[in-house]
Amino acid sequence: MPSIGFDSAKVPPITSVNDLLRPEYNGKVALNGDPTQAGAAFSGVLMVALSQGGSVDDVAPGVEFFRKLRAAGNFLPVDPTPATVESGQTPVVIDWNYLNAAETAKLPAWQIVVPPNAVVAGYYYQAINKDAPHPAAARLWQEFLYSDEGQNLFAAGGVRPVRADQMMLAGTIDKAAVDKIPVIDGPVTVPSPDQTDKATEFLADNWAKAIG
Amino acid sequence: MKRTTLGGKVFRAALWVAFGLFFLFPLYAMADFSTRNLISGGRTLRAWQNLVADEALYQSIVISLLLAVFTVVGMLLILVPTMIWVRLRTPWAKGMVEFLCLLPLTIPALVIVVGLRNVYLWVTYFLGESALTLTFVYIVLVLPFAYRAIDAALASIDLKTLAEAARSLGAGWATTILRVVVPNIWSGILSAAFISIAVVLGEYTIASLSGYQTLQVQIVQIGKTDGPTSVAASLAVLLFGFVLLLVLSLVTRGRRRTQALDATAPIPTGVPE
Amino acid sequence: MVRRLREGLPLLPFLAVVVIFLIIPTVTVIVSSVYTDGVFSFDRIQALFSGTALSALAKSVLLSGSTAIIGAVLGAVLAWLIVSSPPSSMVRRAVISLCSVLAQFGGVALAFAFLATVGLNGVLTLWVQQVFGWNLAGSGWLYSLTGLILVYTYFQIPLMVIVFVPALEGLRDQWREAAVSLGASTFRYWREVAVPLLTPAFLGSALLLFANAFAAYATAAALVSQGSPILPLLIRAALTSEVVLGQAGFAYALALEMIVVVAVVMVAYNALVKRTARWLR
Repeated sequence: MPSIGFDSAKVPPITSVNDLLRPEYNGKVALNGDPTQAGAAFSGVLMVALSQGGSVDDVAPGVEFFRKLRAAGNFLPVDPTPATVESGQTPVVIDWNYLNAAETAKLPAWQIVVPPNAVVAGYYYQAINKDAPHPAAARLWQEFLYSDEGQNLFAAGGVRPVRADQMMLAGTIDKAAVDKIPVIDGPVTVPSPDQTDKATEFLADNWAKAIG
Repeated sequence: MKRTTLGGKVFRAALWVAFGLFFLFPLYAMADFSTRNLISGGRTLRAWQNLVADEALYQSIVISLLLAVFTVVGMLLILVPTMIWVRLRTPWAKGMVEFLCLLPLTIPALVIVVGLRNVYLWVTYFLGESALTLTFVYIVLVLPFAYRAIDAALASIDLKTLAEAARSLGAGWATTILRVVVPNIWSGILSAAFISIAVVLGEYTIASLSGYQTLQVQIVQIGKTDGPTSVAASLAVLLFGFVLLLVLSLVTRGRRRTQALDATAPIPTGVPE
Repeated sequence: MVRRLREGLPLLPFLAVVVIFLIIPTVTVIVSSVYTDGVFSFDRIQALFSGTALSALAKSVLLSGSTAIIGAVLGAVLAWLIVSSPPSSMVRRAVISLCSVLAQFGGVALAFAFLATVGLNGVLTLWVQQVFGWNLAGSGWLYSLTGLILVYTYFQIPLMVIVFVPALEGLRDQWREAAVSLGASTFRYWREVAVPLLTPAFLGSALLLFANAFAAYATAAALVSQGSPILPLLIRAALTSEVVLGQAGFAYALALEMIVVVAVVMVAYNALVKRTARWLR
């Protein structure tokens, strides 16, 4: 799920999305990618939209918030990477929670906040190219990804694997890894493919203008 | 051409310093970050130590170096005779060759990769799946730079006279090219080779989208989890390329232009031809 | 005609490599821009004239043109500096080797290097702040067109040096001596002998720099990852988006547009060269 990570040694603590508009964050807030291109950024904008009173069917408040952020000079168009985070170039990053969590392991001052009423879950889908030179090998790879071993590897990386519920019932899940994944109380929004399409259309038309 | 006035010297020194600062500062910044200890705030060589310890990185270095060598050799073999032939026998083809040599630069790598998909199905069918098949694509990629460097060198010698003199003395085309023309355009050839090596060592898009593990692909992959190590790796590639090319230029010291110059100096009538 | 074909035969290896690994992929892409999934349509070509695409084109041309000129001029100066050092000196070799390597230095690493220098927490930014009290990173200029121009010149100048040094080295000392012996001053020598001789090479190198900047995208992608303000970023967005699918045709049309722009610039360059190369064979 998307979260806000920040370097507590360099900026004051963040408790909500609206904090990002404050002058202390001038030139400091980065989004992991362009929402018309990257799933992480798309979910980030969705999360902001939810926190601003929008919904999965209405991302406009999210885009509007980023427009305000840009106008205030707080928005950084730079692509955040571990290097930019650790060197202090991007002290605030909106990204998947597991990527932000990985940063905490390297930079102890890095903290993560998930806005309480704006929890979005995103899934990444797997596909095999019709014209692939080795489709059988690709299928075997997918078998591995969805096997217990593969799913536990995902859990070790800090994400909730898609077969988690079944594995917990069957007792095959890696308990230690799952315990580290943040527990989600409250409503979780998962956009359907149709809602995603509608949102991306809106973004394709309006994002560049908002942060341009 | 040796102006030794004090004003000239100071001016030159100032220029050197300005350029030096501009180019070396960002490199220093990279070195600074790659040796920073993020947790306790001192200096550490951990990132640099990772470079030697990583097996995958080592493999990708080997592959990239081999690619560089093959690309340079292939490029020289194809481009130099072609350009000489165009100048001597087929001047009508010059515009076309020049355009073709500029085209790779204008077509974004992303697009080339997509278009290459079908071609590469055949290439891997015939030549296997090693990353070395990237050689052909890389030869095409370095054409713009190599063409410009070699063209500048060819334009500055009297190719027609040289070639005719050699041929009239009984040399075949191979001898003419290898023993008469090449020593005279050595500076251009070296430039072309250097820039080609740099291009191959720095190329990322095509290798990554085609799924080959070259050096740059590996560096970016490391960069997704480990900032300092990837910055150290980039800096290491730069330093390594620099040292490699420096050594190459020292080793080829014997082929100085001056020998060739005496043989081609125009008869001193005082009028440049 | 047959004679031309026979004369052109030795060009075959070159043509073969170029056709297979460049022309065929390009043609594939161009054809795909008008003909996808069995449908022949000019829709995507029309999309090229939309606001976003036109603005991206304008910014790309501006960025490439300015870095080409700046890079060409500064690079020529540096090339001159190098050539006027003794031929076998270490400094000269070292600088040329460094230029070869830096000319291809780009992408995420270059963007990071500049961020680490003049970005928010950059080495130079912090130093200037301590000593002078100015905020270098301030308005975020690094992430706008101005910043991109600065970062691009970092590899444009070395590229110019690499391709221009052979031209400078082609200026024979004998020609200068001959000019001086006929009574020319240094200024006259440069104006009437060296500059006309160097102009075609200079223009050709500038053209190369333009094309280089025009298609470069990895660096811009790292510095300005939001909004695709320049053409190559727009292509990347259309081709690799995880979110907005099915824009591949648009990307191909954009690629076609890039080829056309460079072809136009090449035609202009050829016209210029014909005029300035009157003295050369």
